[in-house]
Amino acid sequence: MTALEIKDLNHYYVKGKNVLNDVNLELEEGEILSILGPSGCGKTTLLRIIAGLEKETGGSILMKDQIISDHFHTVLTENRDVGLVVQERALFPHLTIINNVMFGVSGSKTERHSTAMRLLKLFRVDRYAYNYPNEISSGEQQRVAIARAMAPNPKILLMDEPFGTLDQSLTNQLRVETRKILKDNNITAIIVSHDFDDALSMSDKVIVIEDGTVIQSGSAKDITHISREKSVEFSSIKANT
Amino acid sequence: MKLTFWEITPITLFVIFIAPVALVLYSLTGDYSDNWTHLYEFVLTGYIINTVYLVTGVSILVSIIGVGTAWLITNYNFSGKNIFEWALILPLAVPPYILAYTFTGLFDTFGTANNLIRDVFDLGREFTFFPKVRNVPGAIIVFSFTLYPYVYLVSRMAFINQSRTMLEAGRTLGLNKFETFYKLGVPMIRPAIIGGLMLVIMETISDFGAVDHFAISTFTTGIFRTWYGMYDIETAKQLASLLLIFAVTLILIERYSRRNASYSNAMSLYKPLFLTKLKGIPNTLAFLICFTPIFIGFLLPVMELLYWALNYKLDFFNEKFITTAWNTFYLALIAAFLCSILAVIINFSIRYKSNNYLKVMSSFLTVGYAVPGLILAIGVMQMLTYFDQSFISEFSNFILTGSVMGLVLAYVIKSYALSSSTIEAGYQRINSRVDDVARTLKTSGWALLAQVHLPLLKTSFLTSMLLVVSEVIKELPATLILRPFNFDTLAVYTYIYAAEERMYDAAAPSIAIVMVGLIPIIILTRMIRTSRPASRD
Repeated sequence: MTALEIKDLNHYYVKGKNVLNDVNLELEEGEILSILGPSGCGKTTLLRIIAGLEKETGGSILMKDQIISDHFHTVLTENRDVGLVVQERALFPHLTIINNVMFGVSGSKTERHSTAMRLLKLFRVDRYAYNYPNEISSGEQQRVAIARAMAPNPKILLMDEPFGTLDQSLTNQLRVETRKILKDNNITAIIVSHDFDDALSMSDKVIVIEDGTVIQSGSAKDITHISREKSVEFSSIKANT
Repeated sequence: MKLTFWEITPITLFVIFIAPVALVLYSLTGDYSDNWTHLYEFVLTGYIINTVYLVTGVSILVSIIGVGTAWLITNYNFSGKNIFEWALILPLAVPPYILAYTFTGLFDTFGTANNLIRDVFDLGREFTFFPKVRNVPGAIIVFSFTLYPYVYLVSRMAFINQSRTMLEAGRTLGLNKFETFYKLGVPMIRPAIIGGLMLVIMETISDFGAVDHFAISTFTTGIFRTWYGMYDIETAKQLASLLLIFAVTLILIERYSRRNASYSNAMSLYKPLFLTKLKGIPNTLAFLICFTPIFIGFLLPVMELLYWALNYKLDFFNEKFITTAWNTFYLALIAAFLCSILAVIINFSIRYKSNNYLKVMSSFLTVGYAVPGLILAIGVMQMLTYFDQSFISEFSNFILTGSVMGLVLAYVIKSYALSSSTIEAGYQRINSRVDDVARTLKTSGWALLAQVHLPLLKTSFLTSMLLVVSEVIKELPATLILRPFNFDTLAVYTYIYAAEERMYDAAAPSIAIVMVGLIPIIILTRMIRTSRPASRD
């Protein structure tokens, strides 16, 4: 079943200067898609539009064959059933780890607690359940952030530069762990990154965006073959920013 | 477009808050009396120059004291630090007019301080040791040492929330401790400092008691003289309108200068600061830097007031006094709670709806702070009278004019800027991505406010309460005009004696104002200390 379909999506902040041009994509249930591109290419804007945090200026978005946003109507973020993980983690600093993960889960307190504990165990951070976010490392915070986003069982998990602030060995470890958990739980996910390795190691599909336009799309293997040059370009942009 | 609660509330408040001010501004469209020729030819330039001198001097001194002490308290351990941490707020309990009265009592030619020097050194009556204080520099000192806590409080709150990692990055890039302070620490909290400074400036330009006592011609003394001396309320309202335009210009300049300054901390990356222990000369210097403002702004006036009070029979602890103190206290608490909750709702609406119109409207809600209390009271009274005559009298015998509700409304309009500025500074420290994530977790509107923002704004909310309580307890002119019949506050007591230069008589109620003002300051300071994020380190 198609988990997400985006048709002819356009977006601008200043009329005449599009940040996204005619973006089309389809994502099957359980698939992991990476949106790859240099800083400022429009990939985060695309993610925010899918989450409903910004309204597109043209085109439509469908989730499981239901229109969630088009010219005529928009489903609010809180009703879209999406999970969001951001680079800054954005854990609620006044809540313990367990309460952070329980935050978006519905049901009785016992059910919410058991769901949260299950996810914390899955990400191997259950021993910090009653600590506060500032008492654990950044890698552990990122695990908690992903667990929190997965806890309400969203239709799609959106991840914006999820490993952007972590060191290389931790990033490698988390990529493997996160992909395994997403696949084991059949979770559809979109990962926005400017890191080619993120896309390669985590996703089934990749699209490459440049200046708001999708310039390549296909399976991770295809993109690996085609975009070595692009990868070098992104790396040099990354190094210069 | 369908309007929700988050749009309707700011619009409604805008109308209620602006109406009294608009009624004052409306005077500009009326006739201009011959008194304007006199004002223009002889006194207006003096009003403007003195006001500008005063605002500039107070801004510089308040920034140095407020930011400097906040940095020391947040980053260093030194003798008396734990006491200074809360004691630096004490001058908030002393209104500028009371410090002005005690300053003249201390430093006038035959004041307590000069008499003491003459007695100790056995000097003649013609000898005067301390310079005269009834001038602009004297007023700058009076305002600075009573108002610096506004800048201290917001700077301290911002410094507490500064992450250790950012400051450590500065040190590794070659900055010494002082450079870390003025090149990193201060620029990072610039929005908070400017917010606190705006409150100080507005308080300074709208004060009447202190400048009048020092016989300095400023806009406010001009307004009062035009009203009471020339009996020309229309010209007084027109002068007040000019002051109002000046205040609005200041607000717009402040907004413009802060337009790109959203220095929010990524809260999850927050690491509490480590305190450096000071020894020897640095320890003594830090002690003196923190002790001096407390001594001048609090200890000195309180000692002088006690000295006066002890020369006068202390019979004010009667039933009337207790009723007056209770009136003052409960009015202050109601106004403080209303101001703080409204400031949270308005600032949340702006953030939640990302609406520039709401942002502009919110700026105008703070204008009441710059309007002299007496002028605001006239505006509120005109508005309430209109409501009473047009709507309420149709249905009941109750009238708003002369009721406690009218008084609370005036306090809320007058003090809203204090709450708004504090809550806004609090919101700037909450990363906007926290909202994005919360919304994907099905939390929006009231739930987002109650479950995410309010717990994170606890410190700001308490600070806002503290500032408004302290402000309302000291408020005088609006209370005099709007209070219900036979309803007194402590400030009214003090005013009646001080206006007649009966300072020995004014001493006792002045001490009571300071003491009542101290209670919420102490309670809320303790709560702020235990609620800050760094308390878990």
